[in-house]
Amino acid sequence: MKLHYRNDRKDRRTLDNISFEIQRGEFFGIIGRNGSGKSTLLKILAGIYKPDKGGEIQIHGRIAPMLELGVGFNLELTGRENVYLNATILGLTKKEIHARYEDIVRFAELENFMELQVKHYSSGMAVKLAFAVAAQIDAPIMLLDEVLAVGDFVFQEKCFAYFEECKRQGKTIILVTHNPQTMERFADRAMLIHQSHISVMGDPYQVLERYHAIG
Amino acid sequence: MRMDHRSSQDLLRDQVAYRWRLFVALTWVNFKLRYYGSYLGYFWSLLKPLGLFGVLYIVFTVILKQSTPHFGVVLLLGIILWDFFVAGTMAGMNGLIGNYQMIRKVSLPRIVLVAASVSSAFIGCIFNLLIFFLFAVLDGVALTPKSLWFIPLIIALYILVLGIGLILSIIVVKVRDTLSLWEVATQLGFWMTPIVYRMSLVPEKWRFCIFFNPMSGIIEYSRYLLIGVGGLTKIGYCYVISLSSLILLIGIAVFKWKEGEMVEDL
Repeated sequence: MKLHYRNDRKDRRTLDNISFEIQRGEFFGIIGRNGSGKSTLLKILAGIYKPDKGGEIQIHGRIAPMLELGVGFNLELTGRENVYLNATILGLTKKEIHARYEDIVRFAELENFMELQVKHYSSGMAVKLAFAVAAQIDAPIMLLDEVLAVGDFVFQEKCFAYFEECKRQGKTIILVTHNPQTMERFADRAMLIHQSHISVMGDPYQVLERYHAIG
Repeated sequence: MRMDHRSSQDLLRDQVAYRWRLFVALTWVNFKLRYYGSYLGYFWSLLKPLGLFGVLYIVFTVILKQSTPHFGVVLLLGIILWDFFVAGTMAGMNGLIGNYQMIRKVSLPRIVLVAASVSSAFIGCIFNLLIFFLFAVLDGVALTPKSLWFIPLIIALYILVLGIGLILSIIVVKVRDTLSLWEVATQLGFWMTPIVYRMSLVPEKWRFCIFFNPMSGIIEYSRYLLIGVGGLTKIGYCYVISLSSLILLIGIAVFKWKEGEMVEDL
């Protein structure tokens, strides 16, 4: 019998020699092709994965991760139940959730759907709800992964307004995106990850130029 | 890694409070979801052991003419406790692989996921025990003050199941066959544990082997404490409780040691 390893990753490095610093209050964009390792990087920042031996991260402050929203969502539960569960996972107490529930529903524009099971939601609706919950987490650092890919333009504008508000409050935002326009509009500084390495870091325009060049 | 400007004591208290809230929420969700959409809801967690009980009861009393006193409740208690052992370890085993979507996308104390899975099975066990007490009263069993010694025993059972669940939840990530293997193992265990028979029926020289299995002690002593059938030795009681605690400690150690690695393999 031959043992077959599903995930043999002895010689594979998803990220290699990645070293960078982000200042407080910065809007930092991370861009890269599929499979370049940018989501893995975000997961390491969020504390889901641990860096290998020798790697180190230092984070000063609480993080609100918004990685592919709707994560804690259980499709069998209703919108309301999922709001409570997801907000609990993100660290809110029951009292805090009670107080913010109306705001969450209004932000998500789902007043009529909260008693519906999430499996009947469209993907856009689920993301809206998840974003609305995550937006209630009052943390100085936010990690955003492709959150704007879904949702109609009205909602996208709402999210942009929320980002601007966060920026004004001096929050640190780290955004992973494929969308050059978002990057140009918001990022103070950006980084291109290509084949597990930092290809270029600095001014968003230069980074985008390189991104288009390798594409 | 996080450097908050608060005292570490405050931070610890927050962490504990957070874990507790998460534990309660997830336990409740798990319990609710297990029978979501089925018409009889959580009555199934009741009907399953009762069904097995009915079959075995008929086999043993009608066909095999078993007629020891309180045979019915003795059998019922054994089945309920064993049913939790199986359901709880199975649920614990699924604590990581069943929640992979959540685990891969939010950072949360993953040990709580396993504990919540086991605990939702434990809620079912508590309901079943209430049914047992109802039957026991109808059967003329009288509880005595010494029955309170059952409480540490049921906690030991919970701890044992949690410990095994933690170990299995890690192993099953790498070796999915564990799911089926454990199913077979528990079927074998059903007959190697005094559930349908009593300890006194086991030949003297085999008793030690049977008692080696902590479930034997838990079931046998529960029967003694609640129904007054069989016996209890202090050494055996202590053995069961310390072995369960030891298995929990091993479970936590194994889980903490390997969880980071397993998360990447989910």
